[in-house]
Parts: sequence; structure tokens; C-alpha cells
Amino acid sequence: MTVAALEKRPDFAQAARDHLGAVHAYVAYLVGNRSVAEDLTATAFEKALRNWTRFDPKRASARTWLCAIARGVALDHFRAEDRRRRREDAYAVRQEFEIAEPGFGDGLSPELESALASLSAGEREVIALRVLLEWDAETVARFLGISRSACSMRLSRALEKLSERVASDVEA
Amino acid sequence: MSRPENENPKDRIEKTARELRKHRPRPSEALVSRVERLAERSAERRRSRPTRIQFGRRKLVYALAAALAVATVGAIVHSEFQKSSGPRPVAVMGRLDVPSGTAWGSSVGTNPDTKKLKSISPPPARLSKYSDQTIASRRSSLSAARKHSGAATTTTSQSGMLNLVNNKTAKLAPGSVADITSGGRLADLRATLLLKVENRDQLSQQTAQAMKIARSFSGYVVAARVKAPSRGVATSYLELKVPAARSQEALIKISSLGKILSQDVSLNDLKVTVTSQSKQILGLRREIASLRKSLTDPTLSTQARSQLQAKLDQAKAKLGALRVTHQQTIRRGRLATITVTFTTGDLPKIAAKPSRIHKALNRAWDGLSSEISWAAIALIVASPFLLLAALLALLVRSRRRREERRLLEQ
Repeated sequence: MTVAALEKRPDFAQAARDHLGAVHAYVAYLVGNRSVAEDLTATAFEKALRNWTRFDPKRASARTWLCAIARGVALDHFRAEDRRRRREDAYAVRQEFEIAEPGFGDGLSPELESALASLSAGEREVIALRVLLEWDAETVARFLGISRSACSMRLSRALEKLSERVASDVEA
Repeated sequence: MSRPENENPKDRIEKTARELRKHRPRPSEALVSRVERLAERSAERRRSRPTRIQFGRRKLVYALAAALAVATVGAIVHSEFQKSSGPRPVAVMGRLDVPSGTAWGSSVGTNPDTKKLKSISPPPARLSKYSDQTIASRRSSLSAARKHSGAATTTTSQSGMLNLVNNKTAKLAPGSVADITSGGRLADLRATLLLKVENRDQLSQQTAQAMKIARSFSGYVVAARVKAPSRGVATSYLELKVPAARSQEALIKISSLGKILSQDVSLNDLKVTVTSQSKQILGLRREIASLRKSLTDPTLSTQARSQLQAKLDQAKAKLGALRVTHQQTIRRGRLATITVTFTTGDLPKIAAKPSRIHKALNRAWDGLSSEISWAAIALIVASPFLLLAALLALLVRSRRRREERRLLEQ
């Protein structure tokens, strides 16, 4: 990286202030638990601060880079949770943690909240990126490491499922 | 949230998306303050730590290009160094009456029989080594050799050999051979002549004549071979021994038997060798005398006596061998070896002398190609490990992706 490129790189403090909301929203949708999302977001920003010198604005925007770090942190969390569950299954002492507070945002209808909770993390992830953060299909596909058509397919299926579940909840 | 029953699914999805955007999760105050603290820390870090410069993919390409440039420069420097540190034999140019564009050591014509000529010619490397030197230096060396009778000795002490080779640019008296003499010192003189004759009849006549000349100088024929196939180039090969004192005379006479295509006269001084051998012989004689004296002592123990006797036998054997070598060296110095080849063909043309830049480029290319071959060897050795590492990396990556997919499907 040239000195000029380094000078073009935004300040971490500024990047953190600008993209905290987006990263938090993404992590919240990914894990489906706000308190966990807060912890993971903070961890992601700590990690980002440690690796800030590796960030190259020519390769990706600061928001994409921060979200990629947050994704890694969330996946680590899922792995840890998976291991914990397996361990607890082995000793038959599994404890399910109930979501006490709204997981996806203040003011969401309970139907939408429960419909979102019923989706898989992968489906929620694509909704967060395309709907909440309003990334284009190309960027999301590159971010997730899948093809553009697969990304569009995943999004449409997730939204369809979501609206169907909301509709069925409303009808019920 | 209520929804009309006949709502279009597309509209319904759009409405859901709008609602999701509207109620997007917001970070709590605690999280904001946590990140703010991190931002402050980053500002402090930035002040205290210098910025680290990283290498991107483009930089890697630049680095590879730079490495190639360094390798090329290294090759040039290496070749120049080799050139400057290489041995520089002293050569004396003689006269040569050679058609332009002919050289030593190459087969004559297209006749396969002429390969024999090649075997008696000096190696091409030797020619190129000498042809590099300027005529001026050669002439000055030659005049120095003629001026002082001990010049051959002086030159021999540097390179061990005085050489006379053909060169088309040499403009000495035509139709003569090099005047190289040892100046009364014992020296090993070897001359190789390649003479052209008109036809087969002349070839056999001149071959017989050369043998006669050798005998007339109290010399003898060591080897003779005539090869005259029905078609193509005919050749004859003679190895003659003539007394060193009359070798120059013999050479002049023999060289007049044909047109000189090439000549190589070398003179190795043997005086130093003979002197050193004499000293060794003297030393051994003294040792033998002292051992004999010791053996006459009656107080010697049996063991000591047998040890002395063994030493005496060893010294005697060594003395015998050294005497033989000494005699051989003297004999070699007394008789000059003249190798004559008569041929009916011409020497093939050689490429023009390469320019300085061309030679420098050739040397650089040689160096670079050796570097490339070393790199290729290293790559061949490392390739199985690299392949394994790549496979392992692919395996780990696909496993990780599978695991991520599984985790995100939960």
C-alpha cells in the first residue's frame, strides 16, 4: 500500500462512528439476539481496531470490511455455541436460553419478530444485507462467497418465507 | 399488524421490507460508548505508532519484476567477474596463410573421414581463448620471445606454455612457420601442422617426403596413417620425433610441403622440472647413504634394523622410479614432436567474431540461464510440498465453508 493510499484510508474512529449502526443491525439479524449482538459488535470493533492497518480501501469499503470482521466474529460465536450444545447434549443438561428482549429491532410487530426468528441465520443474513443495509446484489454475492443468482434466490426465498409466516401468524 | 387477504405477494414482500427498514435495530448507549472508547484508543495508537506499510498483490508483481532485474544484473556482474578472474595464457602469434573464415578443430568438408582431423586438432575453446587477444600483444610477445633466448622460460614460468595458433588476421611473413626455440634450454616442443595439398597423388608424395625429412634430421616416425577414400577428402596423419636442436629446421622443411591451414606450436620449459628432479635424486642418494651408514652400526636392535632396512628399500625404489622419470623428461626435451596432417580439403568457415556487446550479452544470458536452472531445480524439489500445501489449504477452506453453511442454516 502506498503512502497516498494510506492517507486516503479513513480514520478508524470516524469509520466506527459511521458504520456502527449498520454493523450492529447486521450482527443482530445474524445472531437473532440483541444482547449477544451488542457483545459481538463490540468484539468485532475491537478486532477491527487491532487489524485496522490491514484495511485497504481499494479492495473494499470500510463498511464491507467491518461487516466481514463481524461475520467472522459471529461465526466464531456460532461455533462456540454449537460446541456448547453438543457438550451439553452429551451430558443431558442442555439449557435453552429464551430471548427475553426484542431480537431484531424496536417497534417490530410480534408476528414479524417471530417470523424473523423462525428463519435460519443465513436467510436473516441476506435480508440484513440486501434490505437493511441496502447493498447491491453483486456486493452481497461477493461478500457471502456465492454467485449473484444464488444470492438473489436466497433473498427472494427468505422474503417469501418471511411474508408467508407473517401472513399465517396474522391469520391465526 | 393486519393484512388484506387479496394482497399481491410482491406488494406484501415490499411492505415487509419497508417495515424491516423502518424498525432497524439500533445500538444501545452502552455499545456506542464502548465503541467510542475504542475510537479514542485508536487515535492514541495512531499518534504513538508509525503506520505500517503493507504489500498488496500489485506490489508482489513489482517485487517479482525487481527480483528478475536483480537476477539479470547479478548474472551480468557474475559473468564479468568470471571474465576478469579467468586464466589468461600468454600466446605468441605466428604467421598463417589461411583462407579467410577458417578455423581449427572443425571437421573439414562433409566427408565423415575428416573427423580424424578433428581429433588431432586443439580444442575449440583454446582457439577462442587465443583469438580474444589483440594482435599487438601477440606481436609484442613474439618479438620478446625472439629477442631473448630465455624468453620461453620466462613465459613458461607464467603460463607453462608458449602457443602459436592460427589467426586469419595475423599478417606475418607468408609461407613460413613460427620461429620458436627454447634458446638452448631443455624444453618440450610440440608442433602441430595442418597442411593442404592439391590432390591425392600429392598427398602420398608429401607424406613420404615428410617422413624422409624427419629421418634426415636423425629423427623417426612414431605414427603414420593415410586415409584416402574413393570419394571426398583424403587425409594423412604423421607423428614425427626430431632432435629439438634441429626442430626449427625440420618444421620449416615440412611446412613447405603444403599450404598451411593451421599451426600450433607449443613450448614447455622442462629445465625447472629436470632441476627439481635432480635435486630430489640427490636428496634420495644422501638419504640412502645415511641409511646404509646407520645399518652398519652393530649396536642396532633387530627391530630398528628391520625398520631402517625397510626405509632403505623404499628410498631405493623411489630413487629408481625418479631416475626413470628424469630420463624420460630429458628425452622429451631432446626430441621435439611434430604432428603433421595433410589434407586435400579446406577448413570450414566459422562465424564472424562476436562483438563486445554480443559477448557480454552471451555471458549474461549464460549466468541468467544458470540462475533459472537453479530456480527450476528448487521449484521441482519444492513442487510436491507446494502441491500438498495447496491441496491442504483447499481442503481446509472447503471444510470451513461447509461448516459455515451448516452453522448459518441453524
